[in-house]
Amino acid sequence: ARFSTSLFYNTPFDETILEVLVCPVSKKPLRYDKEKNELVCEESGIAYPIVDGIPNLVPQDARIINKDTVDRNESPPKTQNK
Amino acid sequence: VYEVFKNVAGKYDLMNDAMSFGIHRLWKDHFIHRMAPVEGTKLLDVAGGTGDIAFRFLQYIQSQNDDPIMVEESFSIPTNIEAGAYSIPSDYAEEEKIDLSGYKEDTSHVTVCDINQEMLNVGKSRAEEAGIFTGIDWVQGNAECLPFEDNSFDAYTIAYGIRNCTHVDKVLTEAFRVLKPGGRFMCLEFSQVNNLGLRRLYDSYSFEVIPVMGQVLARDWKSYQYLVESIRQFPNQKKFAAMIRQAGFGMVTYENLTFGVSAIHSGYKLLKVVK
Repeated sequence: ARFSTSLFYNTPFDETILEVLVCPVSKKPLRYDKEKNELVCEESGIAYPIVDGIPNLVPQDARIINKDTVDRNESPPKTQNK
Repeated sequence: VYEVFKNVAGKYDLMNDAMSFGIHRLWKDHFIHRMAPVEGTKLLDVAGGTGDIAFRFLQYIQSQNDDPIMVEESFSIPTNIEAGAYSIPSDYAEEEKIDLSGYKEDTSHVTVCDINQEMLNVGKSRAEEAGIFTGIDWVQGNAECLPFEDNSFDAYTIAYGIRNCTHVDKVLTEAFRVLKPGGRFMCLEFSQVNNLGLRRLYDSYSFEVIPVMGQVLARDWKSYQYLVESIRQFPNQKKFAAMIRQAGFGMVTYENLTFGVSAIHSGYKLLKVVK
């Protein structure tokens, strides 16, 4: 039987939505960072969290990317289909 | 506003039924009938966290596929249910180099965008319970600053959400921006009861009964008092229609429901006229 006590235990993020989503500030495409479970806008320098499989693109809730800690081995912009 | 809806989210459906005696369901059904969406429509539903409009949209199209209806009445809001009325045909899109690669051009889809996570979670779990897994996406975002590209949706709806927005003009300009040329804006919202006798009755009900209901059913007087007040301070039918025109929409019309307790406003992002 299907049941969920609290919220979605670990709902996977549906990447097809990336086709329509853009950064609300810059209106440019976003990059999906799987490790941090965030959507990153390089141009604006901010990252949006994904909560319970739902991306949060409210600018006030975004995290400003610290320029000093930019990873060198990030996932490529185009995510591959599994 | 956020805090109000955090409290309200859980009991949202219950309160809507209680406050409007279930009539809000009819209003929403009527709203979708006025839209008369066809297969292939890409809808953006704003501030519709719990999914009321989104589900009706999908169900309407589903039932259209099963049993197409012929519409012959003349409505005050123009409708056109010929195939492709709300979808830009693919050859036009190629001409204009609009990128449709993300979605299959012929499938209907609704993206629900709400500023409140709790509302979206309620909507998402309702979808799962109803067995709806495709054709719907959930995004948290601000109606005044949408995370979507220009010209990307066939239709935009906002049901009982716009009165809660701080800058209605910004919401309208964003709606205009994300709609494709020829796209339709539709808003369902509480409005002004023009009949004075009825208005007195409605006012008494709103100010005296609704907050009490809020307290009894949701243990929350303040949020429901806020809701009632937000209805009063929202522009009336004509004023709101003017604001919609101001944002650039054409063919702006409105229709009263239940003596003006609710109203449907509609406008189109008209294609540019070359002089």
